Amino acid sequence: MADKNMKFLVVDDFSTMRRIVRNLLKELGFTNVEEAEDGVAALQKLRSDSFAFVVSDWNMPNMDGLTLLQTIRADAALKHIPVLMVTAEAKKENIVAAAQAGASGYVVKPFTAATLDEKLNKIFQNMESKASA
Amino acid sequence: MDNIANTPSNSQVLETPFDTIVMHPETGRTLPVAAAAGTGNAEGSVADKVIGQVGHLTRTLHDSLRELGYDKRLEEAASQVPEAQDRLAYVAVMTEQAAERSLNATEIAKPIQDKLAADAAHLSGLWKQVVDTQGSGPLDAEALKSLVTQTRNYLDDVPNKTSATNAQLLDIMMAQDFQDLTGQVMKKITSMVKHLEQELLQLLLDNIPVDKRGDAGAGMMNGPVVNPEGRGDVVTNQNQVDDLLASLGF
Repeated sequence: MADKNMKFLVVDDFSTMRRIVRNLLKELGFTNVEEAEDGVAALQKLRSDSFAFVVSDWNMPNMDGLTLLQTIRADAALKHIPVLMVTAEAKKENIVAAAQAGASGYVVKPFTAATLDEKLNKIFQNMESKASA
Repeated sequence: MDNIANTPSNSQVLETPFDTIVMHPETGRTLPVAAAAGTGNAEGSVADKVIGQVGHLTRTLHDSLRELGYDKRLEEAASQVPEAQDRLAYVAVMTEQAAERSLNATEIAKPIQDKLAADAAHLSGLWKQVVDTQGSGPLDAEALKSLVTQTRNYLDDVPNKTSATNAQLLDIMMAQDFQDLTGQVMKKITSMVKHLEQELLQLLLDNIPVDKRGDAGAGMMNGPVVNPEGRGDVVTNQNQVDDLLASLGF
């Protein structure tokens, strides 16, 4: 089972959405959650502290979610961190681009608590099978 | 040659650049002053020709705008934009406040509900212990008495907890009042945007030939899909997202 103490970074330019994701993570037992309002702030946090999971929006100022994802995957210290995209972008080309850039999952807004739970667990399972491989 | 640059121009700053473009008396075509002055240099360079044509088009458009009164119409339509911006800011503030209020209420109500459930589970466990696991023997009177008291206390407290939760639910309901206000404001913004669109469209239609209109690319930052009807390039629910990813091998 996933470590309930694992540190999450929630990245979204709307504080309401960050709060909702934080509360949903709390429901699932994850209380170690930090927030960032765009890709630049997210990278600062990721590079100065140790995070186990990133949940990120796409459409943000300063640095968008796709660029953040690509930067994480290109950074030797960060590339192993799972990144779940949670975004309103619903064009097929967005989904394909995110998958090709190395997103660990893609949740489209508006989403349900059940969906977020399911996608998180799927990623945890993948992490576990990779770790035991 | 009648040099328009020499006629008394109006004091408007906008007019000045156009006054440097000379009107040819016979053809009515405009030429930049420099090209008109150098009559011995008949062909001029290719660059001068292009500049001349652009200048001509710009002059024509400018004159059309003025003569047909478009500048006034666009000015009037554009003047509503700051107010529309204020209105949009209002909508953003109202919805944010409503969201905050609702989230606050749920964060207050949740622990109350959790405690209610936890206490009930605890008591239920005690009842099981005292009554169900005794078999056919006599029940422990002291334990039973204590359990009855605890249970009665719990039951007396339930209305307090539920009324506290109801108060939060009421607050969530009331927080939805933003919808009425933002709805009215957005109607106004929609009508303003429609008006501006009509003015601009009219201007374009009157000045640009159909075959010159291109298609601007959409990019990847489009926001939520408002109207998916008839579109084959978007998904409309999580299942479609999952199917697409699966089909790509992810």
